[in-house]
Amino acid sequence: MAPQDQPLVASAASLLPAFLVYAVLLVIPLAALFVLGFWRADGFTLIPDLSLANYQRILTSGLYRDVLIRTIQVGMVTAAIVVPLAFALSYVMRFVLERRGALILQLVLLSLFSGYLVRIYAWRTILGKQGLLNTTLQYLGLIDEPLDFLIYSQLAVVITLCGLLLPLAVLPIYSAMLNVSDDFMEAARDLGAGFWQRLRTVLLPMVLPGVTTAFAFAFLLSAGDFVTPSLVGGMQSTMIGNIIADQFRGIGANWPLGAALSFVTIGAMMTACLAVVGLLRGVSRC
Amino acid sequence: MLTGFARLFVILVVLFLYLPVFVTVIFSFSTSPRLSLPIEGLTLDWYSAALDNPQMAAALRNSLILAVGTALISGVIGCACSFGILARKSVRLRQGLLAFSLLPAVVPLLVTGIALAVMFHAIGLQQGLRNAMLGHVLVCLPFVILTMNARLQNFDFSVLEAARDLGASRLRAFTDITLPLIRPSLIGACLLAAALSLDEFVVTWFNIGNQQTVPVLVWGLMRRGVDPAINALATALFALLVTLVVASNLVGKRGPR
Amino acid sequence: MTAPAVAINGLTKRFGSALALDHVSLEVQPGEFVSLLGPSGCGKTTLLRIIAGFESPTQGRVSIHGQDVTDLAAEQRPTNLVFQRGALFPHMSVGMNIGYALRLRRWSAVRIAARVEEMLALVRLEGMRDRMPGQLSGGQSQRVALARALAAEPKVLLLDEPLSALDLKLREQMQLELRAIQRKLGATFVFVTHDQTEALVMSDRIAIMQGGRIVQTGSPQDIYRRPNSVFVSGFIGQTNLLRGRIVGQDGARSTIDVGGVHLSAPTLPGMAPGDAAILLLRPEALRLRDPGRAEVAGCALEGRLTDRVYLGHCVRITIAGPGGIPLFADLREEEAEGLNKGDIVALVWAASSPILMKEDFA
Repeated sequence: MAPQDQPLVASAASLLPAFLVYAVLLVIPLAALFVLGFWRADGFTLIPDLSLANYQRILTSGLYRDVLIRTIQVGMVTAAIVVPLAFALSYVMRFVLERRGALILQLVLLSLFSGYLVRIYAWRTILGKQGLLNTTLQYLGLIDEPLDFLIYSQLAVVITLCGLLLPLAVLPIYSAMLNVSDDFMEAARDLGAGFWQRLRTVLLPMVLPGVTTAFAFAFLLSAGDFVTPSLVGGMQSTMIGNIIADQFRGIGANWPLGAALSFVTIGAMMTACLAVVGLLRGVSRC
Repeated sequence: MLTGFARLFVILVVLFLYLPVFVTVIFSFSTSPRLSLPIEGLTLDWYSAALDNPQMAAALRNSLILAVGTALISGVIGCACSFGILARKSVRLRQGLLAFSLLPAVVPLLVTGIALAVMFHAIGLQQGLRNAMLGHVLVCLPFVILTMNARLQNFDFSVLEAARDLGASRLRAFTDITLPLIRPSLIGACLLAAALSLDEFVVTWFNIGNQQTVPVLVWGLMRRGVDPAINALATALFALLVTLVVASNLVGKRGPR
Repeated sequence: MTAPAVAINGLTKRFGSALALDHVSLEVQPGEFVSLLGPSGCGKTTLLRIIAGFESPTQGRVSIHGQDVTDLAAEQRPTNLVFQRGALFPHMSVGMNIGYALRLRRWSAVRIAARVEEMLALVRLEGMRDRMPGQLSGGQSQRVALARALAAEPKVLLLDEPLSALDLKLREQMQLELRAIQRKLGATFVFVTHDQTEALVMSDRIAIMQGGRIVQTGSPQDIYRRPNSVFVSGFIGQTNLLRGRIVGQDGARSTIDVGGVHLSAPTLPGMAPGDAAILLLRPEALRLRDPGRAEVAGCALEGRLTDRVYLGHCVRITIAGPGGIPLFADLREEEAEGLNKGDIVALVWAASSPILMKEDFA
């Protein structure tokens, strides 16, 4: 056997199984879904076709457009709450509490494992008409009648999504801040930069990739969620995910329409996401 | 005083994150089915109600099969993959490969789920546990690769060369050196995959057909309305997941420096 | 005559389009301590890794004691390597590390135990057998790495900058120890380093590498006294390089015009009047002019003192030489006494001190 130039157990072949999984279970299915978007459905039978009818129907229908806009709105509002909150929390963990930061991170991440469905369900329990919040407020005599805008509303959807996504936004920002040495902050202070100046001119540019990742997580995952709106949202807070899901597991399912809707949604979400990322870059440059 | 504010802020955020957990755990023991304060009495009835659910046994069994299978398959594949990435000499190639391996984590789960369902349908694989398992492997892999990659960051490949230099075959170097050194990281990554699999709902729901897993069962119960048995089930699941995650962290800590 | 311990023949190694080694040939005799010395990126580590079997050459052959090993894998070669940072197996004790190669060779437990103790004594780590690598200091780790590599009695021991991570004092002590161990065992060592002092202290022979080639091989004295290029002279020790033109030749001696001053040096065969030339002078060869002593014509220079630095074992003065180029001289402390910045200083040297050279790659 000839001596090897590649290190031992880790030849390029060890990448193969994982990338095979990705090819077969991700790339090919997405391609299949894309193709399906040009087919037609007749009841439960799928008819191969090459028509833009599904896309036409989506782009001309007011319903889909409204839901899509609402979905992007919910995603943006959620991200706009979650990212600054995650930034502040990370800052406190990294620069104020320092050594206990790692422990807090563990605690924050652990909350992720309280169960995705369960947490959404628990928020229904908290925000419900006879839920924890309303009964507590009534018990304390602060309100007479239960507040009915707390549940089955856009507000409920946003609160729940914030709870779901905050840990995922903290992770990249905190990791990025771990790589910012105290020296930089001290140097900035030494040179006369005040707190906000240090934050904007030194810290933010250095952790920008982390902030961008956090934003992408928060926005894409909240806009793509369909479980939250269907459990805590009302009639008026249907999101695009619900409509797509209904095309695959619901009465009046229409796979080709759902497929086309998926790609329109991905396109809209990517555009919105990239626009904000570009904006963030621009802000931190000056 | 700054630290005081900081502590208060951290406590409020952590409370916000754990409020749903407290609520779930507390109401799983509450006698009133109304889920409101004050708590009138404590009971274990909801736990027995959850266990009495005729579909519970099947759901639990399926969830465990998926968790164990996903942990083993994605553990082995993900571990090999992160070694393959780390062994590349070019930094840019390593970063590129790592970014690519995170791909399934950025595609919305809903889309992954339906795309898989469409492909399985097209090639005639009937919905069921097998399809769900394949889906779980796909969505858990990025997280396995990411954790393995972080933990193997400082892996000193020269110890493998040293073993070969001293006369060990490829296989011998793997069993004598590589495996003992990565075992803790590998077990940690597998436990993480198991935890993710146990909690997975979206991809499962589109691919498992009319079979049950614990999250699918919970979803069904939730759709039907308020049922305190869900709290009992969720509390049990939470305890299991936390145990797995904490274990995966503790085991990983003992890995190569 | 017996076969050389290592024979490298026309070795070339390409990484993509980069040429790491360019037709390198080298022979190492049994029992010899040879250093591969050069700046980082010169190909010395690649050469060592090809001998060890971790890289395969693009072209050329490697033999060990007459056996062609070019196509053998690392584990099948009678060579062992001491890694730069030890590469001790972190999950095995010191004793387990040292005995690893012996277990692979299926030695009996008793023989292994005896050999491990023997190796521990050799590297002066008696009683450390059950320590774990994490509990060792840097110097101890490298000793264990040495013991581990020597345990199976390799025909050639390869060392990849094993002392570079240690601090200066420990490094100097380990250099002498390593040298003593090599002498005691009569083993063949090939040692890679970028530290010229280390190479001078330890080696029987030094091979200087630059840009993937061996540019000069020779004993430490050879290399120091008769460098064959500006690169080698600069890599080994401090030098003064005076660039000029040959203006006269008188058999054994040539006269060189350096910025208008005529200097004398031993003739270099192949160089004739009119050629551009470089005159090399080691700082420690320069002395202050002593009116009481005769001096050779063309072996003296005058200039204004621009700097003096106290180095402990000597005082390094700088004078502005011909055309203003700085000229360094290392003087004894008492010799330099009373010299101040701005003084006009006259320096002289022995007729045999200057070395005449051509410009590299001219």
